[in-house]
Amino acid sequence: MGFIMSPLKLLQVISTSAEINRKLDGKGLKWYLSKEGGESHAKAKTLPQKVEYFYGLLRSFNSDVGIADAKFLQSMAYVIAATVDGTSKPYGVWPAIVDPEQNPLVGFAKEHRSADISTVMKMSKEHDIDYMELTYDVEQLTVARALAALRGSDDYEMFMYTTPGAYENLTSEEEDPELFLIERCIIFTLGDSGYYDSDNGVGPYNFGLSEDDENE
Amino acid sequence: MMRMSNANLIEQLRELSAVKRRMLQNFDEKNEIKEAQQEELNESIETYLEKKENFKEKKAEALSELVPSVNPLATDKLPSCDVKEVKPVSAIFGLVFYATFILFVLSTFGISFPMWMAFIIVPGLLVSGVMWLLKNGEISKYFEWEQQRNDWHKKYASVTVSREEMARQYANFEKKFAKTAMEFKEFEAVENSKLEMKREAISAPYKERIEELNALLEADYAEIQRIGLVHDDYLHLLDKIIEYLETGRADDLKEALNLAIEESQKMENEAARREEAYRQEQILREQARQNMLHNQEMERMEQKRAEDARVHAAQMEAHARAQAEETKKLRRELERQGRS
Repeated sequence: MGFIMSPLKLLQVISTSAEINRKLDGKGLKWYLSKEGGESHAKAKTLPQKVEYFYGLLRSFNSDVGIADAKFLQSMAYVIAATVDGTSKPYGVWPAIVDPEQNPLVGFAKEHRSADISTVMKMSKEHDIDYMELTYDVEQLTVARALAALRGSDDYEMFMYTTPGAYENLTSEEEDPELFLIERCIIFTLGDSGYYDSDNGVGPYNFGLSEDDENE
Repeated sequence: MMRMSNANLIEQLRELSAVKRRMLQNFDEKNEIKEAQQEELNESIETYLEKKENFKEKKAEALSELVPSVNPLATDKLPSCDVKEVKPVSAIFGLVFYATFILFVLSTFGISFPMWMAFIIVPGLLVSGVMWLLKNGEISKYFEWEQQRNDWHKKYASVTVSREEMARQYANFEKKFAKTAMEFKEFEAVENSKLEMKREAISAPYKERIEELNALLEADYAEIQRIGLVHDDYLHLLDKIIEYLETGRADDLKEALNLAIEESQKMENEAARREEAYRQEQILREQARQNMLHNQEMERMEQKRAEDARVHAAQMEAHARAQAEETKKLRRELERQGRS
């Protein structure tokens, strides 16, 4: 394609340019909260459609995102689509689900910025820390912050390291099955760098196998 | 302090010195035993740590196979478009270009058009061609993105997620993790107690001797306190104090002590002064070395400059000679042309 293009496509562009530009334009929060946004949410029936819908929402807060942020936003969109949408949580239905004031994960994604690859490489060089280890640490921080945001708290440190096997600071399945699922989905989706370290016991989340690992 | 005859004083000080020496010997022996025990234990400690690591690694590897996999919808990048707007006028340029192009081709095959059309076709072709060349990119990018997006949706159209299945996988992993952590704790407890037994086995033969030495050290210390005369902080000056009293440099204990402190201070100052002098000497040496290197570099650069100047002068001379030769040639040619 390029210079040589089917005239039918050109006719399509002329006749549907408004619709095309609506697709391309980063629709703002106002649109997502509007009737059209609600209808669009209802139309998104399959998981890929939902992921795309929520990804569009999260991108609309910052249209100029780097690679790391785009990856993070897509992961968050997936978490919302797979485990939040349609639940009995107050923010599980439209319009609360798209509102950053009501949906804590949208609120978190709106503010959070990931360290991009070049920043991590620079830090790795400056502080003489292995690049993969630093990537892992950055991921753990993101996961911990997301979990804290889900609780409406700033205290992310309680999710950084936990005593072995206890998962004591997370919600149990018996307590709240929906929240249990959301939390685990955050952990296993956002923390997937694949970095594996026997000291940390197991990837992707930093649950050490022994208390020694807590301080590593 | 009661004054006593110097002879008595010296005798008491000698006794104190002997107790101090004995105490140091016992202390050294105790340290040696402890070091030997530690060395013997080090190998066991290394083995213990290695076993722990291997156990953790093995268990963690098995556990990592149960880690729920991430859905590709979260990781396979959603296509994004660089273009934010597509203007219909760009497509119009495209259509006009194609239309005028077709008419132009037809006209070259002999098909005639009304005059007014002929005046439109060529300029229309040129203008729309240029505009289309400039504007076709945004439309191409849009369609490319559309295609990629459709492909992405097609690829994952059948992907669904069962929340029950997800919950089951997560719960399963956590149960296994908790079990593994418990197993590790038990393993650690067993290995710790083995290490402790080894530690006791190593220290057992020396236990009695260590206790003896501890008792001796306590007794020696009590003896030192009983004798008194010199504060604990100055026990290291005892030999000097005795020497000053014996040689008559000091008349009493206080004087001898002050003298010893003074001498000791002087020696420390002297040592510090010598160290400082050595440091200064090193600095000066380094400075001299740097100066020498700098001078060498300057010399080298000067030589290079002179060489470059010579080369340049030679080039200028050669150029001037060539110019002169060329001028002569031209003059001869002009003369020849003038004659003919």
